[in-house]
Amino acid sequence: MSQVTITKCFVLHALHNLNNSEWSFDKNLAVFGKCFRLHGHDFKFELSLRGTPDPISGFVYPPEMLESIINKYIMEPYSGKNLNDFFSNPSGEGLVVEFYNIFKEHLGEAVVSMGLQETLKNYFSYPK
Amino acid sequence: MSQNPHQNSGHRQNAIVTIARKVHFSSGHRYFNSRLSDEENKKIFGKHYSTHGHGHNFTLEGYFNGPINPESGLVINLIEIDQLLKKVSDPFDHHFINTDVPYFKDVVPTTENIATYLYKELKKELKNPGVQLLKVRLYEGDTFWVDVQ
Repeated sequence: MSQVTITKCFVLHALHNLNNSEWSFDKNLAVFGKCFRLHGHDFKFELSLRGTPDPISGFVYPPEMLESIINKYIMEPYSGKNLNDFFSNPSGEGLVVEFYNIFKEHLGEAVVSMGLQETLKNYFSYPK
Repeated sequence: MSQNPHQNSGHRQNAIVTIARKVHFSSGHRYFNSRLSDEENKKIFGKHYSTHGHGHNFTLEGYFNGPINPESGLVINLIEIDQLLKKVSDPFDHHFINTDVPYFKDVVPTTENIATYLYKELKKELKNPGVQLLKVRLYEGDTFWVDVQ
């Protein structure tokens, strides 16, 4: 049986603003523009895992276990929250790296990438 | 002298281009392994295990690559791709996979297994020399998908 890549999406409704705490207000405003204001998104994340479907269940990873890991490590701590309270400058670029590492820690080598559709116009992914 | 807008710049001659096309189908399936007890099936498949199964809208995307034919300007004719995608997906459309697709009589029809099967079927059916099947992506609804390549 050959390896396949599965991708599970989840939507995180949360707040953030882009900022560098070492910069002045004016410099933050000049660099980040409207993104410097506190705002929110329906952050649509895409978690990709690679593996061989289990010969008995047919799953690369049991879907209910995957959902409970997403709930435990992402939805419960961050849903409806201000992401700046947890991550410094939680840009889309920063969030895909942070979340990739969270899943890597709990799901191991199977994790191949983290994608984020922040808005219809912005998409980020890590590490490729 | 103005440049002929239709002339081939030469850049296309060695270009390998990927073309993707999708087809939709709707199916029923049941997560159930006949070699296991009721208890074991419940343990493995959880809420996905039931005696009657459930259904989804699936989208199958085929990614093909190859050189651009200098005469037609195409990698592969869309009509040919549509016929291929329809041929492999038709046995699933408005069918109950466990009972209606023979391969899944003893194989659990998870999206992972269906995608792998469709990849192999597409590869088998693609008779166009010079065009390769690069990847298959199978969406189950719009929040879960499987890539096989």
